[in-house]
Amino acid sequence: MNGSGGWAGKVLRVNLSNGKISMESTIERFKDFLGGTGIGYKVLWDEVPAGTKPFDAANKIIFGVGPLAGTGAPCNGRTAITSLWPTCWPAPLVASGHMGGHFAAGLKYAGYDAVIIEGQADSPVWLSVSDSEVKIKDARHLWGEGIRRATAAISQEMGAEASVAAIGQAGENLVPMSVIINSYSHSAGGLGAVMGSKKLKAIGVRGSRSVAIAGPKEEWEKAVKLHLSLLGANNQHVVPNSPQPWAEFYSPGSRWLASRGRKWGAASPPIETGACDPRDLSRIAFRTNNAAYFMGERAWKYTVRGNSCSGCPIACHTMIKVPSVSAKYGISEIGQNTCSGLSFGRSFFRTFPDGSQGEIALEACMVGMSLADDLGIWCNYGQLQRDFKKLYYGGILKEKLEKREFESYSWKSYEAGNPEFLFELLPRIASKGGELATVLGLGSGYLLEQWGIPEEEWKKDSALLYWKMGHPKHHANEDAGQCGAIINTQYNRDVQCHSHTNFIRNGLPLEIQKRLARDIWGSGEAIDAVAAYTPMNIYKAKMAKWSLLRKELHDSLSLCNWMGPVAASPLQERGYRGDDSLESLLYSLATGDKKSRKELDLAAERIFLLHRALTLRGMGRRQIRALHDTLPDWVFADSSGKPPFTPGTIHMDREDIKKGMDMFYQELDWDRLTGLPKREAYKKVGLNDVAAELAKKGLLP
Amino acid sequence: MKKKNSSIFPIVAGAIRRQSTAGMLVTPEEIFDVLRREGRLAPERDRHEWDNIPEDLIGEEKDIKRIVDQAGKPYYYSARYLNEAYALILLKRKDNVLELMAEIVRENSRVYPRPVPLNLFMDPPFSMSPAEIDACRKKMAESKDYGDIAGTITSTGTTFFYSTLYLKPSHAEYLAEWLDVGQSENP
Repeated sequence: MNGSGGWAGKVLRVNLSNGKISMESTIERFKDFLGGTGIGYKVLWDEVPAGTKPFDAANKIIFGVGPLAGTGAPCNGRTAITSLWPTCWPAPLVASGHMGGHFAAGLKYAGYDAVIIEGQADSPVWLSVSDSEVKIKDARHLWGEGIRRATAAISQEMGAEASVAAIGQAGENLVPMSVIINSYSHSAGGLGAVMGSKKLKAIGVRGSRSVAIAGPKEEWEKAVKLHLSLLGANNQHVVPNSPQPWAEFYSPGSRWLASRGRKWGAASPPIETGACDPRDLSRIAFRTNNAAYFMGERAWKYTVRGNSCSGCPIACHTMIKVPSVSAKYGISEIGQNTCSGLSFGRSFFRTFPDGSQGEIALEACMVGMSLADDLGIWCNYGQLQRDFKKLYYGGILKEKLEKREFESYSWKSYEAGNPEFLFELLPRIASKGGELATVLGLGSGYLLEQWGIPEEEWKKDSALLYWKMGHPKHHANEDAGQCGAIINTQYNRDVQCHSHTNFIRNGLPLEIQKRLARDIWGSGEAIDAVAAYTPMNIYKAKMAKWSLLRKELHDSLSLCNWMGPVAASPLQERGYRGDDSLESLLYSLATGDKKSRKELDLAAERIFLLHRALTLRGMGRRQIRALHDTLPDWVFADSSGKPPFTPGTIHMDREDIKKGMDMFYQELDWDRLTGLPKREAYKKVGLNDVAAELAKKGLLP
Repeated sequence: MKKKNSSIFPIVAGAIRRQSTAGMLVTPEEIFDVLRREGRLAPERDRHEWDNIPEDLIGEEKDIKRIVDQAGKPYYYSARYLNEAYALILLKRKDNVLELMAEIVRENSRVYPRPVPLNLFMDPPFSMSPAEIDACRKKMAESKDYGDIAGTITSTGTTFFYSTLYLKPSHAEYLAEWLDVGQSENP
């Protein structure tokens, strides 16, 4: 490889058991795995034996970024955190959390592409990474504190430019449903307790270096400008939410909310977003307002601005200021987040006195953010809240809990939609205060096991959105029919893949989407109108493969999978076409390692296959198709009885999905019967050594 | 050969472009007013002397377009800042708001496909009042010319309209709920 840019060049290894700090070359060992999840999977494959548990000292947690992190490439602010996953049921397997914010850039500027944390400290510590000065520091004074105080304390010590990734009390107390948060509100779900098991409170990174770009400056700038010109709003929605003067199309479901007259009302002075013509690249940050999208129109008056991860013009992390909550609840009037993070608190409740988009519901959002982002509690993509509602309203809590504990909660307050209830529940989850809190903190799979509830009960209920192995669906058949359903079979947590949903929800008319689909996957038959699905075909399988590979590619390059791939664009003059080679263009220029789109997708396939291999080795079972690549029963049902392939239902057909999985496996060269990748699949991507090890264990077809 | 009055093209084009950015069409009278404000018209000059300016401008400035309402009156806009689709909505808003509403519902049902929330018509470029929307609803319900326009109400009480020519009722119901509730609950 001729790379002379992109990567920082070093991977930092910190052993908390013996205090040893060392470094290794990124290029020598990890070049074929790019970065991010690629590095994470490689470390776990090489160094963490099957059978290791998440809280064992032998487990490792890898904070990985990619060659594009810290560059001028748009949307590069992502860190992938890979380890054995505590909420993966019935047994822990590999998975990754992902966080935005400023940690990725900070790590690169300090000179590292990844940090491997191994062992366990005897007492609480935090890791200070300041260029070449790496120290394990005493964190006993921070242990027991929330994320905010820990972040502030470390920032004071390291300086304002430092980025701090910390855990809260939930992670410290080994609550599996816990997060790691950097920059106060950018969270990576699911691994807070792994850090807690290592007694690692936080990692602070600060760097004075820059990221070299191998290619010519003019070409790099041209590529960045191309990328910017093709961007839509959050989730790569490429049409506005309502008719705008510049736009041919619009979609009420779009996250492109900017419009004349709409204002960031809590900015000083208030700032009008304007119509945000896509050719005005200085207005990209005004397109999205996730607070208004998720909390309703009233959120505009509370909006201060959109905040960004490093290097991202989209600014989807909306900051809101709600003065009333300060006196009413004793919390900060400022909250900020994107997507489910915004709705964390509201999602626990079934009703509010003034409706789900009313003022009280908004207050619940603020209380939820304030508590969850400080205590460090994970929602498992809303599964925590859905489980809670099911357990309460289904009478299960009353049945399972001791009377005294059940009555210790203010259920009338909860039923009335009073956000104060969250002050009772969330701190208890973080501290395992009582049976309910402890069980909720285990995650769905272990919750069901603990309380003797058959998993089938959760798999039948379409309202729960539960998928498998303790986690919910994440953009499945409701978004992209069979393609979405297949995608959701592949991981050991909720799949966190947005490649397909970004395309389906981009807001363009179906005919244009089909034209773009034909260009990328070979036929417009790859997609259907939502809820008007047609039988499975090979193009849908190709789309599923592409979606997953691009997700791994983004998680390894440090590109935001919520903003790509750039399959479509808002530009009428391009026929709304995006650029499916953007990743390879940016990667080649940044690193100097010229790879075509196909070649880079092959690297992504290598990374995806290594995840598969890790899953197989962890499971130790051949029948991965039957045991792992599963769908819940609710996917194959419709409450009104509509049959599959009827407009108005997302009901899938079992035989059709079987056919879909066959086609998907064929695309990847995996055995149809077992789901085991064939030796040829490993050989194609240069993982012969992985195939050999799996062969010894009887895990090749 | 330079056209007569070409020296004032930039003023007129600029005015049209500014209005287009604001989402508005420009009438010949408004162009005349701009020229007067800019001091390009002597009070005694006849208006007709300036009538050809917009048409001449179309030939000179490629982004300047003309559309014509049902009565034949021209309106001007810049395609650089105002999409033809939006311009046509503005035009039809003046002509026949009922027909516009039906056309939007049918087009959305056919092209995307999806039903349309009624509150869409309260915002620009439609800017209809609740009373206007209600009046249109009633007329659609009464006339067989709009027999294909049907409604559905989501779980939050939002009304959507769709055309049965292009969307089956069950599909429209699902999509309305998906747009109104489902998408934000599946972030």
